[in-house]
Amino acid sequence: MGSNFALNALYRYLNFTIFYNILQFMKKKIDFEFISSVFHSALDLGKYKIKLNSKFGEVPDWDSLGHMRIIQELEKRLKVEFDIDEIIDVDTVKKVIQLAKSKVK
Amino acid sequence: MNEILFSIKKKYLNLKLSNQDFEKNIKNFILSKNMLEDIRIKSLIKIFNELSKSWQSKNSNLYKLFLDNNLGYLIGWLKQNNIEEILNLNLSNFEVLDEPKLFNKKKIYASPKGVIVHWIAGNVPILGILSLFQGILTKNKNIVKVPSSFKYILTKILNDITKRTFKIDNKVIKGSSITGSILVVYVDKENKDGHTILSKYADVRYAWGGKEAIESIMQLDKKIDCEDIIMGPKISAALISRDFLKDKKNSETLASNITRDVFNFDQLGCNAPHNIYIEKNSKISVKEFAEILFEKFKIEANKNKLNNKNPIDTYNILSERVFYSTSNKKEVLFDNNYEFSIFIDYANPKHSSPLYNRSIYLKVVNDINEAANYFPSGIQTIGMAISKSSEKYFIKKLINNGALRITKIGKMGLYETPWDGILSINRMVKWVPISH
Repeated sequence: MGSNFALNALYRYLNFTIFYNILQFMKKKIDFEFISSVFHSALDLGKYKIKLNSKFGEVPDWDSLGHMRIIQELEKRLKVEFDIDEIIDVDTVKKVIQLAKSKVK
Repeated sequence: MNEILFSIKKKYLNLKLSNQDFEKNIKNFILSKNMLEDIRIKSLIKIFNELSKSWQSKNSNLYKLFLDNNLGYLIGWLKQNNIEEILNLNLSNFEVLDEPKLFNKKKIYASPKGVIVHWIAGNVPILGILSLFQGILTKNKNIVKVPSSFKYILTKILNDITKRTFKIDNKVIKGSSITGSILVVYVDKENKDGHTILSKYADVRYAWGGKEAIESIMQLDKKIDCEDIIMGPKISAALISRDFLKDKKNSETLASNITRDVFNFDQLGCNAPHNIYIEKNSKISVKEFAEILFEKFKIEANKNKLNNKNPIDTYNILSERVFYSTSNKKEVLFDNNYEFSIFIDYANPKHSSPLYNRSIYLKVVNDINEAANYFPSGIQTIGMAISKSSEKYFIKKLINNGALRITKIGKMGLYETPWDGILSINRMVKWVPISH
């Protein structure tokens, strides 16, 4: 009876750990695709395709307010918060990826 | 003449008022109930956060207004984490605005000072909006005197808030409960009596502007215990040590950062650089760096044309261009349409007076450590791209010389707390100990 209980608990613990790690892995996978989807949600880009070296001002609606929407979308998805001085010089898609990665380690 | 541009009481809106009628309106406003007193600070913070989210949306009625008037920064500033950080920096525990809190065994309450009169400057009006929002957070009544160029922008923002209803923690808060504490007015520059009316009822005078504007406000009658928060005229500069110009990639990044600082409000803010001190004998020469900078400026100027070129400024820039192109050990790179100018000075490291309009002086120095000797007093922001070994020496020396803010190049354009050496919110409240 006791050993059954212990095995059960171990089984549950392992399941939880695997599930938790998968979640963490998914959460931390910040790549171009992830950021591209953030841009599309925030700026409603339709069929427009961003590139790694796309710049602020080049992508439709990536203006000062669009920038804030990208940041808000990132904050929502990553469950983090950015300070103003962290986001001010983030002016390429590549830098947005770096910014997101810097917050989720 | 005077005008009331915003009030939730519409009766006297947009009428030209005599000083007598104007004073009557100011008195009535001061006597009216301040509904901010009934709103908890946490609710106000959440309302600001909600406004930030709403105004950044493409569906917002104010979207274009924000874009056209460079108000994007306000969206970030209003975010909950930013506001909480600013409040705690000023007050230690922001809930002291709602009720007495314990500070080292003593209960203290932060009570609003009363009426804050804000004189907003024409160069960077967003700073005046930030001071107004700080006045709201501290639950003061606010009278805002706007410049003529900014007459209707703030009014539109406040009308938008007035129309809203916020649901915060199951409580309904009307936008008018917030904007009821605000009066936006316009008073002619020459109407000293109109300005005196504003000044004499103020518990806090919060003034942004140039030397002349600030001096004229300081001379007005005021209450004996009125607090003055003065954000007067100042200038800023930057420093670059040779190791930051070690290759093209680093130089390009630095040039992009300088471009951001220079093009931010076209150098009209007191935090924009005009003189940049560069250490000589770097791998990328000063001339090469100036050329990289020229290309960055050109790209930005193509996207963003300089508004309202003033003939006197243009004449001054032209004279300086002629002087630099005909003098020994001086060079100049410029745009033919007066969109920007880059002056390189190998001979005279002393600070040059600002020409504004995206004009910068690259002052070449033998050793970056000597640059601090050339700064004028009363410098606002120093942007630094210097080696770690020099940093400590510099920061101390710059602060001793009166520098009020030290930051990285590329972040000079940010508005920070404290500003001009002042924690404004702290000075908008009375600190009341309670030990009964």
